[in-house]
Amino acid sequence: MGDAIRTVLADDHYLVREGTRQLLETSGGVTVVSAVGDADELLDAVRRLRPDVVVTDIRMPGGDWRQGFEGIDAAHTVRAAHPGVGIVVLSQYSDALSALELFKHGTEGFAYLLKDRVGDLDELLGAIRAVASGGSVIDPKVVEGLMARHDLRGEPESLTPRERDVLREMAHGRSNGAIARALHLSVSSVEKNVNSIFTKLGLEVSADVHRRVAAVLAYLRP
Amino acid sequence: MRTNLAAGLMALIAAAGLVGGSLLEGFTVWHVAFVAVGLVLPVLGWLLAARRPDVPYGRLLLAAAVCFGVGIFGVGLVGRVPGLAAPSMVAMVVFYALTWVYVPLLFPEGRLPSRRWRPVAWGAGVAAAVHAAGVLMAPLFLGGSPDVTDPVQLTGVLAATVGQLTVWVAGWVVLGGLVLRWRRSRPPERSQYGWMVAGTTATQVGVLLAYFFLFGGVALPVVGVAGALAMLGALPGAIVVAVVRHRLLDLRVGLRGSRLLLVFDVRPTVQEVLSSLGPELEDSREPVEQLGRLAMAVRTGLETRWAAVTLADGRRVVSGPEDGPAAITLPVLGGQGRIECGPRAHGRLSGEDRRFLEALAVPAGLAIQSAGLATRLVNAQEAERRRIERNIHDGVQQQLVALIAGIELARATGGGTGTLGNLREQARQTLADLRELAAGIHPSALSQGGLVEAVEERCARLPVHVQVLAGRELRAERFPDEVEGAMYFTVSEAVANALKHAGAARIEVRLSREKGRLGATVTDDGTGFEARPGVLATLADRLGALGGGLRVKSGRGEGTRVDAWVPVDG
Repeated sequence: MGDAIRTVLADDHYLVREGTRQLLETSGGVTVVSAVGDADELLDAVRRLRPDVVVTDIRMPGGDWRQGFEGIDAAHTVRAAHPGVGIVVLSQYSDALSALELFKHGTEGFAYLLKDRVGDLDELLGAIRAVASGGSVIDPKVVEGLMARHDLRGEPESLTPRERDVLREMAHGRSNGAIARALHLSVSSVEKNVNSIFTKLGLEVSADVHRRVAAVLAYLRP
Repeated sequence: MRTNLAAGLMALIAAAGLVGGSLLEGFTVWHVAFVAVGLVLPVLGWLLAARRPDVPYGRLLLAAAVCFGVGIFGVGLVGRVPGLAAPSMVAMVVFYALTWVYVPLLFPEGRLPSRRWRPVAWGAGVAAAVHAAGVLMAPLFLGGSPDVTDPVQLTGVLAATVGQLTVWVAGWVVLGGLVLRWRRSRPPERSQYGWMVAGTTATQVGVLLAYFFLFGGVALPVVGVAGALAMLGALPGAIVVAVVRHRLLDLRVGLRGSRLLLVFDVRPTVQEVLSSLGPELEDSREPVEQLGRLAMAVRTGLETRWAAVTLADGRRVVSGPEDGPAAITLPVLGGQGRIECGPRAHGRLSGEDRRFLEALAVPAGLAIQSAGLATRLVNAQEAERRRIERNIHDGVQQQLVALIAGIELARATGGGTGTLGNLREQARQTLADLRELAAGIHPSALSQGGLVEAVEERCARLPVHVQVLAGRELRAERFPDEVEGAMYFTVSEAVANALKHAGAARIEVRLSREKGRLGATVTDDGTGFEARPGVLATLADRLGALGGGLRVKSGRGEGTRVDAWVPVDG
């Protein structure tokens, strides 16, 4: 328990906030040091408690924040003041715009998850652990949206369905081993697909999963 | 219609006088030529007066034609009815003054070119009066010779001579002025003035020729008659050419439509424009398109280079190339916008054109009003959608997330009966909220049971007692969706306001249908407020779009009364 990740939780909806708090606490790997209801309280809590990770709702009415982007703007403010704090933004919006808004200054230590991931504790804990160690995660649904939009632009190179699956997992911040487990493939098969993707997309080959997220995002960015 | 009748009557008198007078004198080729040339004036005068009643010039020509006809008839009667001869001569005197001075002076619209011409106009008038008085005093030109020993007759002869000479000189002065105007004018007026200069010059020269060779004793009667014909026909001829070739006074001769008739084709009248604009406006549903049609109707109707319709919010639709400042700007219907138009492609904009524009301003105002209404309705719809999206997002969606989190927690901890019971309660609450939300979008009671049913359903869920009064027959009756929707949401909003803002303890809703109107009245005993325009504006717009309206009557401490109505068939 000594290694539990100290987390500040922010959500304007009481039931969601309490539900998520209990959920995270029961996992044992996370301590919720404070649960707050808006962006201003979040900044205050971070300043006082110096958590490892912030888990915040994207939208929390109140204060002088951009409407609908309170969580993202608070995340950037937190990052500017405390560079070491990892941030997970939970969102109801599956559109790419909000995700790209979060990642506009870089992906390191940021995760963008759809809110229904609270129903998948491992997923949520995985994202919290990833950002705590400087990694990044993008929700697969958002990556799918980005890929669909990318397809609309009619780029000449085409990925095979398998490569698209692997790309989505890469964006999710997974290592080759984790991808292999998720897709029920052999690690060597994943490696082959990863190399093929990088060649097709003209990306720099990298084994570092954090950099891979940034590369995929940079590629998919409209 | 009456002006047309009067003009026709005058033209008929003029023509009859001319033909009758000439036939009384004789029937030679000269007489026929004389009649033929002389008839140009009454015909021209009649057409101008009938087609452009707003411009006095046609009536001026008609007056000259009548004087001429009466005069010629009088001359024909000389010797038969001596008593009529003298007044006929007076008519001729007036005819001379009109054709030599006033017809060229007042060209082309029947107005003085400037105030400086007033002395000339008055002087010529006085001279003509002196001339007429002289004619009445001495039996000049009436067959008999004046007796110069008689002081009265001598005075008469002198007066007539001086008067006529003065009028003739005034005619030359006017011709000089006309030449100046011709030199200064630009096309297309320039050619109109050119023909007028030629016509007036021919008239004046004709006068000289007629005097010297017809009455002056020089034995060249052919030249004299030619002069007389020039004096008579040159001006009307010039005006005819100006009309036919240079569209004087916007008249032109041509074929119209499929009718193979030679007609005077003028700009469309207000009625013509309105009757063709109506269906066009109905065809174009888009507000901006309607304004475009309107601008085009103004432009083609007035033949201006461009025309624009501008809304109060700054939106502007222009027809034609807007290449200069507006010649006329006219506000429409309570300052909701304005119509502007540039200069005419030919000639100037007249008072009649302004009246034309004023007549168009009424349908323009209505079109602008409906354009504004349509925009406000679209905006209101947009705002409503946003509100619904926010409600779903912050409400039901969050509740479902909480539910998911709760279920995951129960799964991770092997949740007990208490936890599961809580989750079931949360799910029920979510469902209830979702129902409420759906009812706010469109209550199922409204689509299934109709207006009265839905209003009763809504009011039954309120925490205070609401009385709903509605006739039995109204209860069974159904109306178009948009009518039921507008009335339901108006009542719903009024009742909600009474509860939320006015703190009412008693609310009464009365639904009625009488005189082709479906009406709803919501009264409460709440705190009331200072009624001001704009209260329930969105609903008022919604009712307005259906041809109905909304009236709010309230005052501090007096409660509130909201009246809404929509026209319905029968």
